[in-house]
Amino acid sequence: MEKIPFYRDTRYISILLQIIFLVLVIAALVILGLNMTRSLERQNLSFSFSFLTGPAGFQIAEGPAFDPSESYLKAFWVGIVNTLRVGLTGIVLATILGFVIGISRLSSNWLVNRLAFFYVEFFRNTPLLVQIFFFYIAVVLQLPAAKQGYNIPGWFYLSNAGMTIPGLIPTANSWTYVLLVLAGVAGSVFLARAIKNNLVGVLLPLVLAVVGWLILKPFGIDHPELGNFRVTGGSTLSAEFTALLVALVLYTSAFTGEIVRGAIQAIDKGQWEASRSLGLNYGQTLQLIIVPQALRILVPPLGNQYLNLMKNSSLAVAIAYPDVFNVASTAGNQSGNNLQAMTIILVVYLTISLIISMLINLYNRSFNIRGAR
Amino acid sequence: MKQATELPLPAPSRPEPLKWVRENLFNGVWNSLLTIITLVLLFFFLKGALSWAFTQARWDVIPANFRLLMVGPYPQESLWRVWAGVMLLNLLAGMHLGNSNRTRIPAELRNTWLTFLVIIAAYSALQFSAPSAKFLPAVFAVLTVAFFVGRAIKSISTLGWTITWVVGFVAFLFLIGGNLGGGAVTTDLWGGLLLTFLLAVVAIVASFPLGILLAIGRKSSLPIVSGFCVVFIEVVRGVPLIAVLFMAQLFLPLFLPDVRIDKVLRAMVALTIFSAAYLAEYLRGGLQAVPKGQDEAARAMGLTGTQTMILIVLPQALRAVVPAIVGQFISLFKDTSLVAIIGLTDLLGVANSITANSNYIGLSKEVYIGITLIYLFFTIPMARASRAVEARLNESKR
Repeated sequence: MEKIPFYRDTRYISILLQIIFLVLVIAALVILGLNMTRSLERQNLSFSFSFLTGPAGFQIAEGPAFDPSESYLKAFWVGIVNTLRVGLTGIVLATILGFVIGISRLSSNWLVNRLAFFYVEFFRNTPLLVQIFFFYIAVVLQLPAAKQGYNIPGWFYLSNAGMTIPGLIPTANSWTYVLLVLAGVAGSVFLARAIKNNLVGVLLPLVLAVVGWLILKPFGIDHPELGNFRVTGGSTLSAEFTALLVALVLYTSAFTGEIVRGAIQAIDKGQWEASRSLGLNYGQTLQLIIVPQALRILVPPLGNQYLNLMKNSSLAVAIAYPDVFNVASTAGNQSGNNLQAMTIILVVYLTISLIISMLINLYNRSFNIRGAR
Repeated sequence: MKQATELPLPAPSRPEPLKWVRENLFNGVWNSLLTIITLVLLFFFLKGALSWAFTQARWDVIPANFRLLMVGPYPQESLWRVWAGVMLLNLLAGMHLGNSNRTRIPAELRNTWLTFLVIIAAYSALQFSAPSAKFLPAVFAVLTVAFFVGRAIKSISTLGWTITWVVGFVAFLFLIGGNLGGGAVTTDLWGGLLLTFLLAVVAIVASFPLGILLAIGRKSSLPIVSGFCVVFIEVVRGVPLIAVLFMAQLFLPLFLPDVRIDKVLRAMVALTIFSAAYLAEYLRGGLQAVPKGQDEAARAMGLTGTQTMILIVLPQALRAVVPAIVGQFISLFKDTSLVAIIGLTDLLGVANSITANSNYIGLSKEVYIGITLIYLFFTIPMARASRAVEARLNESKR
């Protein structure tokens, strides 16, 4: 039998194709890289990260205390903390609101149902950046000054300077309390597994937290007070933070609401009926049959929304909230190290994305059908 | 669908209002309470919002800046070129619409048509001195005439229409930007809704082939090719769009130092790359949904690998992800607003410059609500179309 010539053998062809592809990619990268170094030389710049240890020389108004004489590295750190601050708060609030919206969309109450529908349509179909500008320029900045702002004296002040809420002052018992609550959570998870009742696992830490608070008094509460010109005490959330957070939460909750609705609707009615006919009561059906299945559908797209929210928080640069993107672009512009700043931005966001998707996958695995792919 | 096999449903009767209210709003204590609380909250919200909208708000800021919102800094004396371009696109749209509805006109289309006619007539009567009041009816007339011309001529294939649209779009770009005797209108003068549209359309069209290539590359059995595609897709999807936009602004001039690339083009490149990565990810799902038997059957018929992909697998994969792609188009249309951050005067960029204008201090609410409505005017129909497509696809599955 005649042998297949090598130029028609798919094994050789595929190797050849890949070599050609690789050569093309490498050639493109080399050309681009050479062009880049040439351009950088022309502008007397070099691609090194040594500028990071030098003094930043600009102020950061928000987040961990920062002095202009501290290094760029510290500035980036402050930016990352600010990104996580607004991102994590946003995730928690958007999840809560999203569940409320999603369940309202399924309500048999016509009015609630329609309102949730309009809410979703409105926020899903308008650009997030427009919402951010609206809440910052048209709402928060137009609020009256602290004296005439919206107040619940001692608790809550909303004005054009942002929002002030009571803050916590740690006392000698703070650490004891935190450790106690953590131990309580771990213990009740074990207990819940042992007696096969998830309700105990949820309620026990709550009871522990409340009772512990009453006995130990772990934190003093710093009530904000209205001074002559501004609010003192408490924790103040800046106008930028407030606007960004509100926009992110409203926007993301519209998407989350649709995901929640879809997950609940996807569960077959037969699942309810079958479990009731097996003699499980409503609570057991919900806990053992419905919620695990809904979560399995819910968690992957919900994780995507969390990722989106984190990435979308970079729009903070538009209203000068000092998140990592804003700090990096300021630092890049100021020191002429735009490329390095951009690289740091990419690394930070890719890391955040990776961590979130890893957590989601880990969580997801515990809900997967055994043996299924 | 399940009820269809059971007893035939009674003919739908007109609901009695009182009964309807009882069944939908007050069935049970909990629901009644919910209704009352919602109504009270809604009352206070609407009272505040409506009294602001009708007594305090100064909406005249929108008509005063309407031209700016539509075309940005585009020179007034060249505006006819935009109108000519819009007319050209309407000519094509009308013919395409008529050509694909050769047998009968759907009632929905006819109603939309009549509504448009009424709106345009009313607008022209109210603003008869404005130049747009003369051009707008003309555009509508072109659309209508083209529709009937399209119905009269014989059916043109999809490929024919694709080519026509590409040629038409290039002609459109030349009309608004090219040198027509009076000098070229450079891209830094393109703005407003016009720029928003151009960015969205170019990114959507250009990202399509790139996204398909990336998706096929990712599924490829050649490890180097698929590895490259995976890294590209994951990196672009893992970073914010604004980072991709900034990178295009910074890196492109560094990479290609001998070519001057203008800002609008750089934004288009960034949006295209970003959109292609997302599109590739949706398409991957679509490709996975095509049964393996399709591939094998095609190969057994003697089609080559390329033919199998283009003629058999890809059409089915695309069909499966139509709703996701429409969703991607909506989000791309919204995301073009990010170019305002890198200093382009798109719709949002114009809105920002109006709110910063000392003549319009304190009117930022009106301006942002105004452009929100313009965005909604385009995204809501797209979202509705997406839902309709989804419903139809689900129907054929059952």
